[in-house]
Amino acid sequence: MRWGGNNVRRFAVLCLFGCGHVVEDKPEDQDTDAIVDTDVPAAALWPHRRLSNLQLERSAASALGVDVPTGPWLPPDPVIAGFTHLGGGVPLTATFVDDLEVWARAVAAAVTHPTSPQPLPRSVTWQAEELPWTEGLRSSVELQPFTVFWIVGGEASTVIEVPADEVWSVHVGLVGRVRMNEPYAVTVEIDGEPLGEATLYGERVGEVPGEIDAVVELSLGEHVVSVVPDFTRTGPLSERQPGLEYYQDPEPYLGLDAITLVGEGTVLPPTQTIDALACEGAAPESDACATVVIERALQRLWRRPVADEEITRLHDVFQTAQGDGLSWADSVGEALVAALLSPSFALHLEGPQAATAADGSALAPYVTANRLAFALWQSGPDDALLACAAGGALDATDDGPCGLLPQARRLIADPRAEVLVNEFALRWLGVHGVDHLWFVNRQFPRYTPGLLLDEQRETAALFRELWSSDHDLRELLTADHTWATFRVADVYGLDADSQTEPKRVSLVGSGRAGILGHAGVLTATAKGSDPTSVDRATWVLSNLLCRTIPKPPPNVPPLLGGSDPITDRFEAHVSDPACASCHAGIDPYGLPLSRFDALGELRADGSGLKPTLLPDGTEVSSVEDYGRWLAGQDEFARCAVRRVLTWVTAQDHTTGDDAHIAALTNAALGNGFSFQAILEATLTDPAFTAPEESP
Amino acid sequence: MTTRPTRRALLTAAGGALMLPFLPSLLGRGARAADVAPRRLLVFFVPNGLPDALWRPTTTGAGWASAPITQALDLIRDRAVVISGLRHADDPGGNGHQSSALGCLTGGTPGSSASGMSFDQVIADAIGADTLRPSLNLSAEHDTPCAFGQCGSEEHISWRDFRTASPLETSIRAVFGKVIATGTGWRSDAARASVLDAVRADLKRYTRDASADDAKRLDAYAEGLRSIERRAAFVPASTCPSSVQLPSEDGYQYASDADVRTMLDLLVLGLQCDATRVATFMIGKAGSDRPLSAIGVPLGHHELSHTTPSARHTALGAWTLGHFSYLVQALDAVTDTDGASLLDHTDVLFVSDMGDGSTHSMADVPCVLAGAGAARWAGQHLEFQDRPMADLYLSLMAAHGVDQATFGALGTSSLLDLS
Repeated sequence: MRWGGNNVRRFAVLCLFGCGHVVEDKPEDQDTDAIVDTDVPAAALWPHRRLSNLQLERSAASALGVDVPTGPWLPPDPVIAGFTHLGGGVPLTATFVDDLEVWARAVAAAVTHPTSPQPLPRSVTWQAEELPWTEGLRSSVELQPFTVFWIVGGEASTVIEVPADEVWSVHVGLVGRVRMNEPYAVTVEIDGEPLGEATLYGERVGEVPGEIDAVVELSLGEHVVSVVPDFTRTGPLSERQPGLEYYQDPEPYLGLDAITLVGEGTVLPPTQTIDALACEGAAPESDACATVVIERALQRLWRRPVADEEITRLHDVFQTAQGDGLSWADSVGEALVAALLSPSFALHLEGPQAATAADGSALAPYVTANRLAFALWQSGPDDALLACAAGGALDATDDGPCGLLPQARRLIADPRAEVLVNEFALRWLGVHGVDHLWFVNRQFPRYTPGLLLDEQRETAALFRELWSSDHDLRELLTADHTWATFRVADVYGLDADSQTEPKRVSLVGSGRAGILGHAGVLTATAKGSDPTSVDRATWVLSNLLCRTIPKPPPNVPPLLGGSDPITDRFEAHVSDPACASCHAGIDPYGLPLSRFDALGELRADGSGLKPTLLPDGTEVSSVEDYGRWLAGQDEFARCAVRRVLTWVTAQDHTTGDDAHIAALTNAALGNGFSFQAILEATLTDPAFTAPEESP
Repeated sequence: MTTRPTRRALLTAAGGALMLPFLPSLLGRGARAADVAPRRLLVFFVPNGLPDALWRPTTTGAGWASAPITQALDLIRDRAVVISGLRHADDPGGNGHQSSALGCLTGGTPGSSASGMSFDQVIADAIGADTLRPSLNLSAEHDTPCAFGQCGSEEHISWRDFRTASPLETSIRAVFGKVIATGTGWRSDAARASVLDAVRADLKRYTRDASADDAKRLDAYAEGLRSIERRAAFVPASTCPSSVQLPSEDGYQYASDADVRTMLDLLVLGLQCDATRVATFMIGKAGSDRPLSAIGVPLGHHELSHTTPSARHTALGAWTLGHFSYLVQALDAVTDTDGASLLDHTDVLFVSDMGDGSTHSMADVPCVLAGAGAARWAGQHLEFQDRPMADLYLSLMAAHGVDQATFGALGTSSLLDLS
């Protein structure tokens, strides 16, 4: 049976009736974009589409040579069809413009004061309940509404993994359950050294907040944090007032809220490869130099020809600032703020205003140049690409240096195209953000930031290898080797040196193949402590096969019990016809991966090894089998093409338009189905070159 | 090629805990005209109602006997009045969650053009003009699926008119940036004016050929530029802390308990700094089906509201009232510009959009009022016989200087003197 639009709709209707599904113990702070995208609103082509946060950062970096994250100031972009830059997805609101000004100012400051590096805030926060504690703790459930961890005994210790050698500001949030007029002291130690002390005291019975702040140098790696409450009552009991209720519990409690490290000394990496303030012959710090700087910045930031009046307008900003007593550099900074805050920077070059330049000339080549640069770099075009646009070129049929494909190949060879690995590939394959899942599950103390970061690097490294060596992208599912650091190798039970950079290791005989055995994928699709075949099936169907999966119906009773922790528990999905109507078409796609636990290790009890009968009748008895089967599906190749087309056009092509996708897929298959071949097929497709005209 | 695997980590981290100076450019800019503590309004909204039997105290007057849920109020008993017997207007088309959200604070016949501006906005128009934001509306739930795929009014309780919601914030970071860490480092007023002029000139290129739909989005751009000006001109109250830690948030659809607390802290800070004087907080949208695993209930909020009253409802009620209690205590812990507590100058209203959620009843809506207006009645349980909630809104409006004879579909006379 083929899955198609009609079948999907029918499943959705059937699934409104109760099929038991497992109630996930899904932590609320789980990063949802690391899993799979399911809710995909249609992305309309919207003329006044703004740059995504990533595009803002990268465009400023490309034009001005400074790398200033938007993170502290702009809210995160929504994930649509797996990515953050789709048309209609990135909202243009008054809030955004208001926030943009603060970021623009930070960028301008980084340009005009390059010698005083901007602190790059970096922090790690552990909610106390996410940490493995030694003893003396109990959960806070009965003390809602506050989610804190309560220490009722004496000292309690835990281990945190510090991400870098650095001077850290340490903040420990406390909530003391105090009696009236009964203060008690709390000491926090790191590696046995006192970090600080707080006294918790209240004039009323109840919870009072406290905190400990200190600045301390910590090295990369594990450190022991101990919390030592002194519950010896020192308060004046004699002051107890008659008639007031006193807290009934015999013991005061200490609640631990969170431990936060903020890096003090990290500074912006030295990415300043462009001298945005270069005067090019004009006298330094002169009026003429300001004009040079502004004109160059505008051409790069606005990504189109700039009219004289526009340069004059920003030069006026410079002069006004200087007239009001600001230094030359700060005055140039004000002009840069204006440039960055303008719609010409923040909005894509699309729609009516993209038809003609101020001088009446056609802007079409600039529109193409913008589209190409954003597709391959997630940033605006560089000077060379703008020069081609100025020559009126960038034609898809042109083989000359300014033809579309030669320019695309130039951009792909540039280091900035690495975004295709770290953003496109990792998001498509579902492991982007997996480094933020490490606290998900206390059952696996080995979930650490280091391990999960290495898992992300593993998947990135395999993708990068296949791309750079021009291999068929379907080898993502069949590769007999991987790229492991010692942490990842340890999870796989492979011999591990102490390599901290991913190293090519063979997977032959390991029971793994390609990304289906990648720990990052298996963790991202685990959704908690006990991965279910349904969740992993969802990932296969959605991310790898681009199928639409009906949402779980409401009011489903939880499925509990069962002797086999994985396969038998889902017996009802097969035996109950109401369930099977949906689940017979879902579960089998996850079952071959159910031999791995949430960390991506083979289950210690050896469960999940039963052969799986896939809906098309194929029996799959190993992950290698499954990878080969998936790689052989036309649906996978078409889905890969859909994902790339979605990425380069910033339009959702993950469903529909089957004939068009089939033709594109065939074109890429004819060229070996390398990532490069898929990119070139999609970049020369009308959906990319002339989106307004395509359906 | 260089890899930047930690980029995301850095970005997310940057939203974590970061000390930002508060209004660095404005220090020394001159104090506010006079430090007279203004009166504020804060509405705490809980969706899906609560069964009367669980929250209505069994005795009236002072020293009321706790109902199962109201034990959560014990810590703020002397600052709050429990008011029972109030009702919202029924919707002739049926009391759904979309219409109840529309009717909750407007007092109108829900879902009809008769429901006009919500009472918080009436008050904001009267008292909010001098602040950074005339009102601040915050929700602990965002981007959750809408009933039957249709997003209607259920995400909003604060309305400018029956189809225009007052802007809603759902991000801690956004609220922090807009309302708390408002300092931007403008070093020259002339330069700022010049920058904004230049940006507006560029914006004109876009508005020339814009479709109606795009014109709306470009209006948002222009509004953002005005907002930058307001921010630059804003002078915070003298009680405002000199630095504030940017709180972390998880960005999940339902704010965690820690995030709810952070949101409430931010509201308190917003009032404390006089960045706003009117605020609403939604612990969930109307009809919210927030998973209740945090209180040990394996159901969603809406799902639970349609079951027989049980200990689970009690836990849910205690959870919401517990957060309300936290908010009231937090306000009480802040010293206002005149030396009294911030709570002394703030009316804090706990209200739901329904009475008993299992029948979508509009009668017997749970209601607690704390702070300024409650002072005279504090510690009491006042019982009314089927009076409109809109009458209480009339009382609150009067207390904030808006004298109006009627409000909404049912409000015809003030319920209490809250001056």
